[in-house]
Amino acid sequence: MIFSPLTGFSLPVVERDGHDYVGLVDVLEPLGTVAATRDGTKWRLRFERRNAEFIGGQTQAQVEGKTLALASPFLLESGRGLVPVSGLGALVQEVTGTKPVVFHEDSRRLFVGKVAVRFTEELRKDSPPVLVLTFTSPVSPSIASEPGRVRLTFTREPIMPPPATYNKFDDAVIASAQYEEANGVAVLTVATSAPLLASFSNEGRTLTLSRAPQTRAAKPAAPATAPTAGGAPLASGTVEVPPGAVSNGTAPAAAPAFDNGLRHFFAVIDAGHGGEERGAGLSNELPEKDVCLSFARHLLKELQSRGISALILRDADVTLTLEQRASLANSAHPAIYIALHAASQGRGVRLYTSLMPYSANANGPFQPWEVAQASYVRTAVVAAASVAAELRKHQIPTRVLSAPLRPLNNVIAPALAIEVSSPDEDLPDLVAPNYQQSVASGVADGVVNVRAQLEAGR
Amino acid sequence: MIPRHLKIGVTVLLATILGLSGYMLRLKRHVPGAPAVELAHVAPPPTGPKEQVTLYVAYDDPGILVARGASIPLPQGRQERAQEVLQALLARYLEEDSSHPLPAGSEIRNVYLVDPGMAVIDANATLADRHRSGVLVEELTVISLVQTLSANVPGINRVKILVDGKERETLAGHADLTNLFDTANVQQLAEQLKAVH
Repeated sequence: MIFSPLTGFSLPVVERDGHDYVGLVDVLEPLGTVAATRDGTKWRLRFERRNAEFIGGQTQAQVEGKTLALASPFLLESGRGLVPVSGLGALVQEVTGTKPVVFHEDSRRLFVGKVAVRFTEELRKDSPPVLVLTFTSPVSPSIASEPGRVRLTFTREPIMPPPATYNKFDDAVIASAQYEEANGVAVLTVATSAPLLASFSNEGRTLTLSRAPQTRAAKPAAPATAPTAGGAPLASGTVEVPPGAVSNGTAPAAAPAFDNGLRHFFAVIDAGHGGEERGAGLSNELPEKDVCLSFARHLLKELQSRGISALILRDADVTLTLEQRASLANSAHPAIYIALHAASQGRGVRLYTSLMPYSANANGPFQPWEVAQASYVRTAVVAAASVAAELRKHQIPTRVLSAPLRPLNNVIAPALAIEVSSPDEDLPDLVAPNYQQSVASGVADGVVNVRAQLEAGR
Repeated sequence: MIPRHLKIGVTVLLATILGLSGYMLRLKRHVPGAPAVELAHVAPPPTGPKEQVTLYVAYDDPGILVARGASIPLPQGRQERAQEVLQALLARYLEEDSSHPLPAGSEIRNVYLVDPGMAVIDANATLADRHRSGVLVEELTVISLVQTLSANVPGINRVKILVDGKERETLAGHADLTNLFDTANVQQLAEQLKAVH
């Protein structure tokens, strides 16, 4: 795995005569302008304005007039120059002229330039105690819960080892943290005697692990006015938990069950856009992302008041990619997925289902990502019709359409998108609490009406 | 004493030189000077007889797509015809009182028929970068383009939309451009978009 300020990428390693090799052009191409020419056994390389010369079968190279020793002979294969993995850091430093270049040879992690992300571990003796990991840049590890431990795997982040790779904590639940690197990734394993809850804050720079609630009842819903730092229960298997993902409360009548640690929500509400992605500018001061979040909180309350457990994917002003939204939604195995958008064009509400046609699931538990929605489209259309009927009862103009709108196609549950516009010519009415509540109420009623069909599809 | 025949030869030679010089001067006067301004490269206007086409025109108010007939000159080549049809549609959206205004400077750079049944529409960055953001308003643009293309150029069943020759995730934050548009699905959606209810 190679990390640079511009990019992070991995390369295949080939074995020749017991030594590991990589293509030197493959290493350099993402880092800058590179050109190579072959002249017999000589192989000349130009990177930006620096020159190097290699000779097939030789263990020496000339880089900017300086002789550099290679750990094993340079190889020429079909015009491609292969250099040994051993000592790659020094070679890349000389060829690119970049400093520092750090190579963790055992784990094959190459850091080109000032890219390192460092972190500290601190066990805070709060009640209950929490492990706070503070990073110098935002991180988004994949998090896996296994019996007795939680593993944070950093694939894309150039994480550097902490001062001590093993830390033992004086705590009955969070016992220790062990840092390791292997095969291009960094892994932090936290030994624990109980399920942990992970939450991100400080724009993804702080990751807090705390003991998950042990009761089946969920914590109360977050206040509708203030964004909160999120937390998500860890599951058996691997669950991506990006910053901002929040599990919110539920009504007792539909208490979500822990199934091997993973909470199954009936509805997932996805407030569109967020963070750097503002969505449409509804006015100079009103970005779409804010209206989506406000509407999501109204909808959460309305669903809860009807005994429907729900999860808001983004309950803060954070950036989530479309892939992260679909992954999170799919991890929660909801009966319905509802994406929320807002627009200044048109009047009332537009309900969208995926543009793809229905097709029966012929793939068992493994769904192709691009067409994961295919077997749920029919139920989604039924749900959209039910919601439309309820909204019209509230005198809200409503249309039902299909749309090429991600991540609807990638969700393994009936997926709806709702675009809310002002009820009249007046844009401020779009953000009027009464109007949002009225729309949310209609949507919740529509979902309740098709609960049996949605349950059947789970 | 200079021989007589030599005098005559020199006289004839001088007369010839004088005559040729005069002719060259005359020719030079007739050569036009270099143009002061370099001529801009202008695409040739479409040639061929006018033909009736169907444009699927978006109307923001009330958010519908309407089939409108138009008579435009169409070239012979299938690819060129595809491009001309979309240019005609775009021209409507760039009019001052357009029913679905697109940003000034929006262009369809090219239309490629790259594979049996597949078309690629390459729009310029202005069209996407300055497009209004919203699910419906973006959907109207892409469905209008794809449906107009497939309705007028037979044999197209998949359409890809690129922006400045590159793949783009969404048109302006909503309409997905990563997937191919299946023209059968788009036709169904165009039917849905015919009316408000």
